[in-house]
Amino acid sequence: MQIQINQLSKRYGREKYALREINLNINSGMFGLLGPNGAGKTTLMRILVTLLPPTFGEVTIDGLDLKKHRKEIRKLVGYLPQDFSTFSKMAVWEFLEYAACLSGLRSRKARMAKVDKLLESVGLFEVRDRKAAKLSGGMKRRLGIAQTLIADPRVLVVDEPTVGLDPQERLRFRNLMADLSREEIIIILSTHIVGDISSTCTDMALLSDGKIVFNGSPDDLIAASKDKVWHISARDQELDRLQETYPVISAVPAEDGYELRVVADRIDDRPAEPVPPNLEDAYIYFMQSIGYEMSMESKGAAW
Amino acid sequence: MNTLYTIWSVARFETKLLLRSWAFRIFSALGVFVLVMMDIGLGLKTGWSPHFLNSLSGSLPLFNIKILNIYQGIIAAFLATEFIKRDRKHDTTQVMFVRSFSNTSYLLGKLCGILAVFTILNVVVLAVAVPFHIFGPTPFALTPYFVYSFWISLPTLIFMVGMSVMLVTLIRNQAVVFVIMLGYSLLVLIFLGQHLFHVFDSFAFYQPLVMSDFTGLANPEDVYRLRGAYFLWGLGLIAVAALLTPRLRQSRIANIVTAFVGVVCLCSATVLGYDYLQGKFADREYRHQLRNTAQAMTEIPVPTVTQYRLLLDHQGEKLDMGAELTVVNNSPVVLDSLLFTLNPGLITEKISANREELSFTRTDQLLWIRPNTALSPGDSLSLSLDYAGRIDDRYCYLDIDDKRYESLYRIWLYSFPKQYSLVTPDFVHLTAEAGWYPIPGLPPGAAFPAPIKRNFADYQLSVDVPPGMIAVSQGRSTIDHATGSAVYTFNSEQPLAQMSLTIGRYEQRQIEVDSVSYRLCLFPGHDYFADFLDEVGDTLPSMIRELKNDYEVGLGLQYPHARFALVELPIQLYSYQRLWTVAQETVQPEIVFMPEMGTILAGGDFRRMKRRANRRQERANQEGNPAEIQAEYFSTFAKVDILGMENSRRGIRRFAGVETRYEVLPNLVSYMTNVSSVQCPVLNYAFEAYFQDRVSPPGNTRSRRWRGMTDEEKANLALQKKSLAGIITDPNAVAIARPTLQAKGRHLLSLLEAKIGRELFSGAIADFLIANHYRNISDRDFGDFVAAFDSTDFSAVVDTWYRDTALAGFLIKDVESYKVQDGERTRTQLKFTLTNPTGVDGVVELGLRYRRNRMGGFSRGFFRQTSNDYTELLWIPAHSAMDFGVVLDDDPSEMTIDTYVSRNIPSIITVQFREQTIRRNERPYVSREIIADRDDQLVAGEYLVDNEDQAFDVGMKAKENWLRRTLLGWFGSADSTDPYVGMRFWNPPGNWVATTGPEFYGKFIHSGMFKEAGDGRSIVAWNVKLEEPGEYDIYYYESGIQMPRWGRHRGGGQYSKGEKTFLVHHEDGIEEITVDLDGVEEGWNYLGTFRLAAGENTVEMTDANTESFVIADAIKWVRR
Repeated sequence: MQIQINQLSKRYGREKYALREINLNINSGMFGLLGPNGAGKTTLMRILVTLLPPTFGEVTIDGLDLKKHRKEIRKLVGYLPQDFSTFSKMAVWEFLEYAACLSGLRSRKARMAKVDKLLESVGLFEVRDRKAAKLSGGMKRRLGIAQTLIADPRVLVVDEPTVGLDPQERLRFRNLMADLSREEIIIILSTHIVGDISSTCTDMALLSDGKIVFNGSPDDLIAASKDKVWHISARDQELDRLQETYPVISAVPAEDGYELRVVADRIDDRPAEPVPPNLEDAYIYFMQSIGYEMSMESKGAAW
Repeated sequence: MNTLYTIWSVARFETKLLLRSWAFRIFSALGVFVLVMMDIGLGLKTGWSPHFLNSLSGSLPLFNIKILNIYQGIIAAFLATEFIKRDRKHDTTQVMFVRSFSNTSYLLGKLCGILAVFTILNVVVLAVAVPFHIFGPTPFALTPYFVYSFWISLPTLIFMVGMSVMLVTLIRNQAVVFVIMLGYSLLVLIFLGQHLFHVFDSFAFYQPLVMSDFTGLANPEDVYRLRGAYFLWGLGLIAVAALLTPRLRQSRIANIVTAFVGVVCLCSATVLGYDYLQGKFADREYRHQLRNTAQAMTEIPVPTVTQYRLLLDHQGEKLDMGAELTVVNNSPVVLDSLLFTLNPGLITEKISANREELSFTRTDQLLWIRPNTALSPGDSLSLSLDYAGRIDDRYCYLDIDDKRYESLYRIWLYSFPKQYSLVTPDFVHLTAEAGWYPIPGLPPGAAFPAPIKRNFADYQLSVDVPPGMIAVSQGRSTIDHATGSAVYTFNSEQPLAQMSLTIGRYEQRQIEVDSVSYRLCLFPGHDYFADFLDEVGDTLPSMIRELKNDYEVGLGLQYPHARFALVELPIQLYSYQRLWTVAQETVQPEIVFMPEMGTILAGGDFRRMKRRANRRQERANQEGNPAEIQAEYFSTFAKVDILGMENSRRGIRRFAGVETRYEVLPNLVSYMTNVSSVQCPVLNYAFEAYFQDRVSPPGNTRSRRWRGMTDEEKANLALQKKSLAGIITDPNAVAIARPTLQAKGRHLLSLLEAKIGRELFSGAIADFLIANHYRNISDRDFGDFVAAFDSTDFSAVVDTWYRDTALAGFLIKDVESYKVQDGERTRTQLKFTLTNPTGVDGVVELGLRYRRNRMGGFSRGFFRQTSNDYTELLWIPAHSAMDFGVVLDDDPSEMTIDTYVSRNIPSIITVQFREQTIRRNERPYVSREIIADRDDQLVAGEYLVDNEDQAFDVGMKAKENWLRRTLLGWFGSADSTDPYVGMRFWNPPGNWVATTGPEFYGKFIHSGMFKEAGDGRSIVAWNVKLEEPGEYDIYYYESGIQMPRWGRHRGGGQYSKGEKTFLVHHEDGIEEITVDLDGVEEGWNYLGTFRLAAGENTVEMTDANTESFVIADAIKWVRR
């Protein structure tokens, strides 16, 4: 199972490009799509699940051309959009059954068995009769995952699945993903939460302003930022000046000022202690190195 | 198969979602609730509904489906757009949209879901209706439930869903689309649906769809085509929506298939719609063609047929006929070619005379037969014709203009199809109008306004009738059962003007009274009145005898046949009123037809009559004899519908716009003789109308205040502008032509009657009619008849009557009624002076009602009686007056003076009398003396300005509310274009408009102006030019009309006149006077005394009032 993306561009209107000349090969396993808001992650995913037509370029999924074989491709993919919600008047099991019907599962017995199995695996069996409107955010997200899995998809596209989830739900979700990735399927996970990727993905791409700026494993990304992350101490009055000079990842108040974690090629003006980078550091370093403006707000969002 | 499975799945879940949606639940619950309530009213035997609402087995389902159809159409539009909106929440449906199915199957699934829930709703509504239906007064049948659901509900639903889904995929905004759909629905229901043969009527709101219980849909082809078109349009639009759906197409093939299906549906729909419309236009064109074909032949001399022998073989929808005719040349010229008319659908196969075949030509309905030797005057010939084919219904009523012909035959929500003849395997109805046998020359419709001649002939008809059916026609019948079917042979016993044939599965009852055989032929299960007449059985013969005698005495003529049949016809058989005769095709010699289940009979609502009787009894706290009450129903029915002796009883409902009548009169007049006048083609109508008037009282004048002018008054206004000749030939005056003719008709002979004396004239004219049985009366015959009594040149009278516009006008004065000592007895004196100040001789009918008949007395008090106890015609020459005095044995409570055709509005002057007191000094006074015209002049120093005068000024006009006027126009309540409108308490007009009534001041026209009460800014003014300065008493005329109090005052049944605010301009300025009218008497009332200068003076009145409207009438100045 492989997805090949060649020179894919998506243009809205006359000039606004959401994606520019994307080239990617995605193989079985968990693939992370990282990038700030508006980078084009959702557009790319919607193209992959046949909801949007590409403007230029070519995409093949398992050798099938995305433009020509929508019918077959739709049988292969499962999609969980960012803000998944369901028909509020439908019970949890009914919604899944509807999805099963639309996927062509005709035998009622097989359908119901599948529904129950999936509900158990996502931990919703106890609430199977509850109306969707009465589910918590995490439960809804799990229901969303369950409906994507109903047709045994070979490509699973999941858009920002952990946004707004509490840590426990987020962990549970990551585990679910990890379980799935053991099967021979492609899971494409788009996120701007670096933690989602570092814990699960074997391969990833970094998308910025509609372009792929990095494609490789998370380790490669981390390796690229080795010796670029520093630990420094600063007095109260220095904080503002330092924040203007370096991208500050964290500032922890200490006895006589702050303990800061910053990314920089080198630090000459004060003592600095290099620390081993993690994926978040690497992401920020990388984004900064390509000239992406990392304000405190965007960093905040990345947490 | 995958596609079907997807459609099924989507439909299944869509149904679940809709059934759970509050919008649908609330809407349906509301709809079901309202309809159930209405069903209770309609369906219960004791319900409030009038008979026409539940007469046919399809009435109740049709009512439910029509209401539901509009309701669900709009709701479906809402729900259909709702799911698109729901689907537009991308994240909900995108998880669905990435699954493998085509857009078309998805949308079709949605459509099926919507259809499913509305099917459930339909089933619920109809299932609720069924028990009411089964146990209600209406005959029950299941077919209409299916037929109406299928042809009304389904196409509308699919069309509305298709259109709204298509729009929402284009516009992508549910609110906007819903508003568009709502606007579209309103436009169709209020305006578009009525026009262009209902081709835009997507709700089937106007399209004639009412089924007969026995012949089903009358116009199935129209229904299939138009409803089919909407069904296919709906599907086509859904296909378009599928192509436009904002989801990427599944596959090219799916799209191609969808586009193909869409195009096929839309094209087929368009073809069906076009075919329907084209058919209608072609029908219209064809009728024009037939009319033109005939019109070129109006002057051709034609033969007379003295004997018909007709042999009819009924084969499904076809006729195979043989006709033997004895033809005589009664014209003054030699005929080498004989003109006949025959329905153009009947193909002439062979014509022979004395076993020799004759040559003939056919042009549409015209048949030219060329005898081997030309027919000299007086010669006769026996013709034998073979012809066969289908009756072409378009041939009927060629004289009826397109607008009238194409107008809806509609009562409330029910649109009935119009048919004029019917030949189906199970039913046959043929009248002369259908041209089913050859008639010499042209039918009257084609000839008018050329003089109309009736062909009186002996008829014999033989017809093979299948088992279980019976045939009804004229003459003595013999039935031969030798073969499997029955062969009916009818032989006329006297010459007939025309012959009809009706064959159907009738159940018949027969009774013989005084050697007339009465027969009632009804469709099985249609004796709806039986329950209401169960007590009258034994007394039926005497009731019939009494009714017949009353009628014959009133008319001065005897029913001339030995048979009388009342025969039910399918509801769609319609007939029009004509201008040359009162006869309609629904009445044939010896037969009066009645509409299916008495649906449109004015006096056939026995249930309503019973309810009224019960209520009356309850109120009067008395027990009536059921047989006596039932006799009243029967008598009302007979008098209103069959005899035409009553037309204004309470509880009688005449359906506006429905022309068909079922009155027997033509059997005694129209089919017995005919005035064929060259001078005036409508003289026959005048002749017949005179007889009609003898038995039928004038129309109800009580409601004129609400309805505006009566038809007679509208006719009078029209006649002041245009002569009768002008009106009857004016295509724009069709609506007024018949009432004008009716009024003028009774006026003409009443002129003679008043001059000659009622008794003498009425006997003589009846004798004249009888002497002319079975022949046409010429102008000369008529002139001779009149000359025997009166020296006036009747021809000149007719000419003036037909061509002049001058009308007489009458003023009544000095009306007095009191008790007077006449010898030993105390009697009642009535006196008045009636002036005719115009230059035209006039006639009026005086009518009196006696007080003793107003109170108590079961049979009279039971229904409000409208006919007069005493009538007398008074003839008043031009520029003169009648000094009238009469001494009566009874106290009159009301006097009416019907001014016939005159300038008077109201045309009937009404005077009410209070209790008469005795005047000891007066002597009985009897007079009919014609005296000099005493038209009152105002005495010196008196000035009067009425609202009819030039000096009356309607000042500031309120702003015209365009929207209000348009909307009111749609709902049929717009301010009328008539110069005088009816007064309505609800929603009075925003501007000053004129109305008439006896309450108002006036010379010939008693009128006033009224408008809704305002803020006092709209002002009317009476301007006067005073010759001398001085002190003047000013009076205003008060009509005394009270207004019911609405709103917070409601419930108390309170009435008030409110107040009037006058502004009197006088030497020292303006004085505002507000008068509380509740203490004010009707008539002239004193306003005040003012010092006024010579020259222009004004009294103004504002529109301010505490009640709903204000009335302005007249002001009088009297110098002290």
